[in-house]
Amino acid sequence: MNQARKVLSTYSSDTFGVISALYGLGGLLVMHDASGCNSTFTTHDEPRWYGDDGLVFVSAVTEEEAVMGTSGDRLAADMIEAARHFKPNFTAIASTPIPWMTGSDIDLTAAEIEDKTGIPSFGFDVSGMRSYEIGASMALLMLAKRFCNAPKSSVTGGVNILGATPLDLEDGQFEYVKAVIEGCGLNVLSSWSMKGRFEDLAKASGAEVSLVVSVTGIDTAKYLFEQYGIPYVIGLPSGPVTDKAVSTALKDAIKAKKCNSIFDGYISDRGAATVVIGEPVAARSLALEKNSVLSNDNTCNMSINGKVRVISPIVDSPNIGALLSTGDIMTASETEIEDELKKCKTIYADGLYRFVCPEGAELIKVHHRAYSGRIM
Amino acid sequence: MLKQTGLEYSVPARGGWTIVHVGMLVPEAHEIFVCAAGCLRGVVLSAAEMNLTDRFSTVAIEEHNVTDGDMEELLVEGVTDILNRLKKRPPCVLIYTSCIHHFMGTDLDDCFRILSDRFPDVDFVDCYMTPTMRKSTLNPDKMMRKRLYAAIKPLKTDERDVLLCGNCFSVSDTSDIKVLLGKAGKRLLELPSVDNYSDYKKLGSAGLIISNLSVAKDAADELAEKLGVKSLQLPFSFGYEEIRDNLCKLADEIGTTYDTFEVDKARAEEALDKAMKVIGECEIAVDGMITTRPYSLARLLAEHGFNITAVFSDSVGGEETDYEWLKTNVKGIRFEKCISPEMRTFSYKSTVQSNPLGACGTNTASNANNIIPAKLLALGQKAAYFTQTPYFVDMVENGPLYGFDGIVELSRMMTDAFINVKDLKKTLDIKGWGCESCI
Repeated sequence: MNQARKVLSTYSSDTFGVISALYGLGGLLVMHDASGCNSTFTTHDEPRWYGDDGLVFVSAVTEEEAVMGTSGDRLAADMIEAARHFKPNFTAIASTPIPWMTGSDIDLTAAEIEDKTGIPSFGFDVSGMRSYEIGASMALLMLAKRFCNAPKSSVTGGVNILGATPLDLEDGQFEYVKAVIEGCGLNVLSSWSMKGRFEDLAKASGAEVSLVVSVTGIDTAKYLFEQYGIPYVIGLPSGPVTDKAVSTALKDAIKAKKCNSIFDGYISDRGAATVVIGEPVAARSLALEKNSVLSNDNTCNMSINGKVRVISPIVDSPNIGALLSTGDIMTASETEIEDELKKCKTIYADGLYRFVCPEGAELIKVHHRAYSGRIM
Repeated sequence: MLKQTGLEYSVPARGGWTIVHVGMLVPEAHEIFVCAAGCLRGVVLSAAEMNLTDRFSTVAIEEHNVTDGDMEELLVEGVTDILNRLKKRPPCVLIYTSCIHHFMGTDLDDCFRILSDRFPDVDFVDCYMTPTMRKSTLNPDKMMRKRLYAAIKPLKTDERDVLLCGNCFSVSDTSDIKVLLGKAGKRLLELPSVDNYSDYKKLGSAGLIISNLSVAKDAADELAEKLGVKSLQLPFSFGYEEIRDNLCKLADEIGTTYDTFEVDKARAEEALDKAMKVIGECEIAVDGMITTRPYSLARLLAEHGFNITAVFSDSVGGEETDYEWLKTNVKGIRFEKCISPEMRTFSYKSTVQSNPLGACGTNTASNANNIIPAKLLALGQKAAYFTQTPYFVDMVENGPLYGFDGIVELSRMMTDAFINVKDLKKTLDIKGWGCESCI
């Protein structure tokens, strides 16, 4: 029974992924939900909530509205009223299980809001049943399609950071990524969307390269490549080896106008006793970093028998498979993860995985907000 | 000014209990939530924060389950799988289903029948995480209080036992209720004080069920009917007359008299006077999180000369008299609905120009990292957040308070909060006031 979890936690959902990706850009964000989503998101997933003025609300849909199919009308009226009051840069609605199941037409609701207020508005028909990377990816792509429309005017050394949300990156990690980019003579033109500015989104078409730091940024990277010819690099700077790999890959991508990832040539060994559990871009980057330590090789040589492998416990994005190598696996099953870990001596993972770590194995905690929220 | 809107805001004050916290009151029970990922996210992390992961499991509903129509199979096989993998079989399993089951017409009766056949040694209790019912008569909070006592079966009645039903916190040993019951040779039974499942089952011997929260009335009535005993409601209040009437009603029921009204009242008056000497004219904001009767509390304090400037609460329900009294008698008092979207950018404007302990002016939650708090005493976490004061009484849902003794204790807490600064953000970040937290 893959859907039953005796002890493991659950990853943040697609609904929260949408809101996390859009937060901080001056939007009016509404989860079309009865109650609970707002508290859950702001307690566990959104570290910026306390003391900030980001606008996130729930629609407070009732049983009667859901049964009668009237929630959309009321939601449109409420959001129009709120949009006129708060004057946001855009409005967005993310669905949840009941509106999704009852077929609430949130695209229509968004269109009505935009029609009445003139404020760009979006609907995200997510179900609340898939994991966060789906929602975050949809939201970032929507931003690109709608706002990244400035005429192409290349900014030398300009880099877009794609797929950065607090669900995957800590503040310090983001600053570290930025420092690595600046350290190799490039500069951050836009961030999608952590610590980013709404007005910078339009400038993204002028970048020379994009850096994808999580799976949530891949669809946007592909779009920017197809629309504006901006190549992208997949990888998260996580230490000396990957920092160098990212720097080199960014410069190569600019020069060759070709996309690449820092772990393209790294093939993990299926039997490796060291495993990283997490979001695949971060996990594979960390695996590369730790493999160089175990191999006593800091030259970033690629390996076909990598000593560190990856388990991706998020499985919903169609982009995940291509990020993994033959020794890695993708599974959300608690029993499968438990069985895999029985073969391991060293485990890099969020602290909440301690419940399935076998006796004798060492757990090295790597906080992942999308998994344990604020508690680890 | 934003017109009335149905959108709702969530205050970052986490002390309130959720259905996860409430369910954990059943000792040794194991909770299994069967919901979508988005719904599981909050509850699974609440349990983890309480360090109770070993009493908590989940079954995730996926999109294909909705289209395939196999919700019954998912529930039954998911719960079975979890129970078979647990190291120790729990005596009781609370299974929480969600809105989606009810909209799809899932045959829960059949699911519970199959599970009871498979695991005859387990008491299965159907619980509900159904926020779409939040504004219905039997809302999830009331329903959860009812389900807390669902596994109790009638035992031989012991007339000495009086059960206080539906509270999350035990009342203090010096509370008026306990003293009065003691005088009549009775014992007060309370779920929060029960340590093991065997003792939980013994609650079935209660000879009288009392309740003091409106959300617990249905639970008390249902349990009393099951046990064949009387249910008595003694509504929580800060009003002297109402407290006295409740105690008289209880005394009649247990065959004694309540004859210490004047003494108890004098104790409460003395405690309030003592607090007043310390707190003086300091502005005070009250919320609906610290107590189920915020308007009653605000009125009591205003009647005793305290400077009540704001009440933060989402409804006036049941307190219309106190609300009207405050509106008429307390000049400048503001009433704020916490869930209103406007509260996201709320600014509390102090009525004083300066005071000895802090700067005067505007406290804004949205620039919380930079403000110097005006000296203001908040009663409750939400009042503290909205006024951004580090001087606050940290308690939820009346805590252990009841009656005149409760007023004495609250006076002491207010005095302490006025003198001793708390870390506002850190305090508000912890879920489930009074519970263990790993943060």
